[in-house]
Amino acid sequence: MRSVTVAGKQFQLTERAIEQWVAVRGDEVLVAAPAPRHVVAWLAEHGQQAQSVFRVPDSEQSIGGAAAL
Amino acid sequence: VRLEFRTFPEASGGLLAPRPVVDVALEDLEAAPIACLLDTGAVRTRMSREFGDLAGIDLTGTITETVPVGGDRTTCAYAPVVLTVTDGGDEHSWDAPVWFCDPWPYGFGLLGLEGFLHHFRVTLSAYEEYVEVVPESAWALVAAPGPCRAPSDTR
Repeated sequence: MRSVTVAGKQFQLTERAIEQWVAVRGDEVLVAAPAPRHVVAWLAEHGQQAQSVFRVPDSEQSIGGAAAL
Repeated sequence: VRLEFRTFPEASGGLLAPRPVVDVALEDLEAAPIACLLDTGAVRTRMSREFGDLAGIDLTGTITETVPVGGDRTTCAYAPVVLTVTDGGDEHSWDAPVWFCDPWPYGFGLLGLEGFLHHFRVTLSAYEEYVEVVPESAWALVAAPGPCRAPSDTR
């Protein structure tokens, strides 16, 4: 298990969550899916409110090198 | 609005360096706030076009530009949208110029000068790992005189 910290709360992620889009709230991962549309659809279908939606990166390189424009 | 830095897991099992990330709700997608990296070096605010489509934003016939992002070139379409930020207590919405990009290599958006930093007074402490954002118009009410902002800048 790996963890991600959002707003001071630590979430436990399974290996298969890496590179997946996740929605988190409180101390739980609500959903992990291959694309944002799946996450948004799941939240709507289940009437859930996420704290944050993002794709779990697999490396430092996948975050760095952002646009300078 | 005060937010703790975000840490992501590393493939090797460790943690990546904590970063200033702000969760921003796009238009009616309040249930799915998008994690956005605060990028003081960026002029534009950009995010995946998929979120624009999900929010029902019409990007046909709008201004576009092709720019390098993360080593690749991407085409970004402009739209004025409403963004909202909250820490669970305070909440602020504002009109923002956002560029929706395809392809988009990141799992988060980028908050630049236009669309975000022009609208907020930002305190960033990498040492204490938090970022605090205060709307410029609200700040002007309690601080020394500063540049005036149009009423439409914040709602």
